[in-house]
Amino acid sequence: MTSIKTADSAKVTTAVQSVWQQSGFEKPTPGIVPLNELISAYPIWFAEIPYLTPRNAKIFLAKKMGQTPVLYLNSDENLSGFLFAQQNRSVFTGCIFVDANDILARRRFSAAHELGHYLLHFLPVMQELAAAGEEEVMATEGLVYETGNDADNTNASDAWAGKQIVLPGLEIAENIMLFTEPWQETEANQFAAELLMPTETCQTLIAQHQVPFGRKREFLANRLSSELLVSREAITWRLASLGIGG
Amino acid sequence: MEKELLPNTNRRMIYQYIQALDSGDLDSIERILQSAQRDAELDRMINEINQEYASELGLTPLAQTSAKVQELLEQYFTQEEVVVDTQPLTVGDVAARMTSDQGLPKSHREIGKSLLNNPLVLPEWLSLQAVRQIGAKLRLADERFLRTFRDTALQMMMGRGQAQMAATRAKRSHRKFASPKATKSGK
Repeated sequence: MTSIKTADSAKVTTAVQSVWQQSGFEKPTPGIVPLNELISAYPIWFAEIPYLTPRNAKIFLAKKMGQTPVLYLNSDENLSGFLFAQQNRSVFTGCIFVDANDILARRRFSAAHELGHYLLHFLPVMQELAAAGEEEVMATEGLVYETGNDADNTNASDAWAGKQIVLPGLEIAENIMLFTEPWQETEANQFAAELLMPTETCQTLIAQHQVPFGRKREFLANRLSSELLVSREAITWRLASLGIGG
Repeated sequence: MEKELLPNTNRRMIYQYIQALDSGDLDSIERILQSAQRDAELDRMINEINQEYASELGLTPLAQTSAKVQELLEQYFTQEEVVVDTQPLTVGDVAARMTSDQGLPKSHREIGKSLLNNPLVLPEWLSLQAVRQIGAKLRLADERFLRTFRDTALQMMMGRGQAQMAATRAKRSHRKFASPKATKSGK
């Protein structure tokens, strides 16, 4: 009997803490999280692309890298986020793309979600493969939101059939594909939520606002979503997970 | 009559496939062939079209064609023409790319010019903090320039990595063609 793997919250929290440390912060900064600064603590570049699809991502990559990537990305499915990482000598360099047409709160959540995948799911596998002597270690992942609701950030999941970790490709046809699992999506979402809405920051803001607004989650969510540049749904979910309001 | 019975999607795909063949649009051909892998009926229709095209063009039988392709591959790939830059990336390399990028602000290209021959090797872990430290050494304080510099450097690193992978695959492919009796365990 096989057991179903579930999200590891402690692992996610540790990963979020490591991001702050890697960026030179002792703890999360108050107010809007400086996401660009956090991402750029890693060898990752970030771009916003209008009408993001796997095919457009590949075209953009080819233009920027001056080299068509050895990747099979020809789908026209709309994506909100895209992650590509590859081994460069001893380091795993990568890029995160988000759809420029998405609203700001969603773009930020998508980028944080992809950073979560990079740290929690891709790096460990890629490092293991590199240690085993594999030479062509690459990974890609695409993010599609389940619903058409722009603000619904908490139900992010991969619906793109091409979501894969491309393991060392001997030939394109011989590539082994590892599909991201639901628990990995949950972890990436938790990672994004904890990164963009740090516990301490939420508690500080709530302490400031609960006098005029009370502890009604709906009112707090309205206020905090604009102060943290996240969607109302995302902050509502986060407040619930922190056991705040009702 | 059969035409009328075809699902609209397949009809559209066949039409696009013929157009792509006529115009030599390889991307579209690849996309449609990908779809055909998941659709037996579409795959069958495409095969019929391919056979029709082959006889129309008087193409040689497949076995002869593949022998010719193999011969050409051996002829061209033994030269190992693919040159991949495996040297570590330097400040000068990135500056050269930035200087020639007309999409960048003129001020960035100007700063790039002043760094053209700088041999300083960039670290593999190219965080923004690392680039800021390099900027401090070189007395560059323009944060926007440093961010663009970092992005360009990472893009170049990845481009070189991809070129390396493409070259490795080409060599592997050549070996396969050059010694058809070689077993997979020899890879």
